[in-house]
Amino acid sequence: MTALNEARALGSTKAPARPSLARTWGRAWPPLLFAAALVVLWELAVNVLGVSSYVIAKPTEILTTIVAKWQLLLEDTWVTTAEVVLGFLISIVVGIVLALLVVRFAWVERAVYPLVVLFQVVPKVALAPIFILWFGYSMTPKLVLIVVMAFFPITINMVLGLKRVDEDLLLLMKSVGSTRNQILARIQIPTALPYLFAGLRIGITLAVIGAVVAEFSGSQAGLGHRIQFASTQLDTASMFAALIVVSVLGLVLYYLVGLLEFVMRRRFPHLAATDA
Amino acid sequence: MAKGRPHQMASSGITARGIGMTFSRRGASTTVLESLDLDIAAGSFVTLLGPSGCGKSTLLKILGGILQPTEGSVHIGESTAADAVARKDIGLVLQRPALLPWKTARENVAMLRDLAKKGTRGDGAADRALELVGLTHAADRLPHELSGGMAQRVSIARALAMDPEILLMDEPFGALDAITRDAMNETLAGIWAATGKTIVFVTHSISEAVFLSDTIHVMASDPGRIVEEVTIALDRPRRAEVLDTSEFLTYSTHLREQLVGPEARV
Repeated sequence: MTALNEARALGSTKAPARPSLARTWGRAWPPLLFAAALVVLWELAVNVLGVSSYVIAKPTEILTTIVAKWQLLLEDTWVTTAEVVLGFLISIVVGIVLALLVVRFAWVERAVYPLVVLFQVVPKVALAPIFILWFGYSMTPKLVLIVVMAFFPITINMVLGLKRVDEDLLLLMKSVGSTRNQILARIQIPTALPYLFAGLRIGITLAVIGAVVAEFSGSQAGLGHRIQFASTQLDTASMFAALIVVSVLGLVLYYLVGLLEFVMRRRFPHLAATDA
Repeated sequence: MAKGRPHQMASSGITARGIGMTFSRRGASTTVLESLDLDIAAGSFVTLLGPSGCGKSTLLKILGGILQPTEGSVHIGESTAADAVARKDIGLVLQRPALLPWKTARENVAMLRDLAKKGTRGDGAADRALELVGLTHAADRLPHELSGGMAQRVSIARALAMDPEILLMDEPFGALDAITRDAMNETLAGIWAATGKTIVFVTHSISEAVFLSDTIHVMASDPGRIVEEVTIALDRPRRAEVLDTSEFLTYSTHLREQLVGPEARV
């Protein structure tokens, strides 16, 4: 730590800046204020224009709905969270393993990787009904859709990172007769970590989308199911309530990924290069 | 630093015979080096001096057995260059320090030594190497907390920690500013005196070559070849003041004429 302070005292610009509470607040209040103004405007507009509550719910209505139905929403949140977290964990494993295979074995890169990339043009959301058909109303089709949607950004970013080998380091490793596995473990994987995290940030948002879409297509519980069900009942306030809860869920999970990256900085300081 | 030779380590000479290197790509072939002979005495400081693109880096890698020539053979001490690589007897310093950003200076220095399975882990070799380059105080710093010159000294320590028979240096100070570069040259001269390593050094700086070397091999391009061997008879240890002496100037002028021709004299 003293070395770090010394480096900063010497005016080193490379030392990673620690986000202070004051700075975070300084950055956070303008958008918060603007959001609050929009909510007030929304409430006033619905009142003044006399828009029907079937069309759009007022913020106060949504809030009372969340408070009144908190138990139901909590159950749905738990179901969706379980799907997203489990699906995302599988996506991470699939994404990383595929990336390692692509970089380690030339034939995987030549034969398999192009197909994986090509598969991305398929609108994966449209696969949800097929997965329901195959796997029924259980958790499985949700997990499958989440993995299909979320593994790709993880893989493609990780491959990019793994290929970012410092040519000089490679030469140095070869000068001591290192094996390819040693180079992969000691140099490539740690080098790829910032890229992996960039992929994880995209992946987690896609995982939430995957869960909600899969629930739309067929489910008995979950926040996506709640939105779908409320829609058939013309219960607009409940739709908005579930929408807000699922958005907060997505935000929390996104920041958990950021938190993991922040914690790993202790061991891998080069992760500071991709600050959120 | 040059008190006796407290860090005396193993060292070998290099013999290269009939070295040729031809790269071929899509049918077209380029001859980078042609029928080149070279003898480097054990424990000497030898510089390959030449313009960009004359193949001096390629020759350096061939001399260290890291690159296989298309013609000819290289021996390091009693064995072939390839055997020396297999024994991990080659230390390499490149133009960029190429340190792992997530490892401290000490961990960076120890990495190649550990991979090469030289000595035992944590036997203090990394610290001794850092001491040789004068960075004991910075052992726990991360690369981004080091200046360019310090980072390059870490990369030299990394090569020294392997206790190689040959130290290959490919324009190691080319990316540093002039003042740091002069200081690094003095440090390197001290390390060479202290360890007695055979050092093969690549540069296109004439004054750097004269300051450091016992022998300078002047190279020319198309194809890469050695045009002259110059022995530098300046007294050691050399300090920065030697740069202003008339002997130094005589060597520099001669080498400049060799490299760019007499018409380039102003």
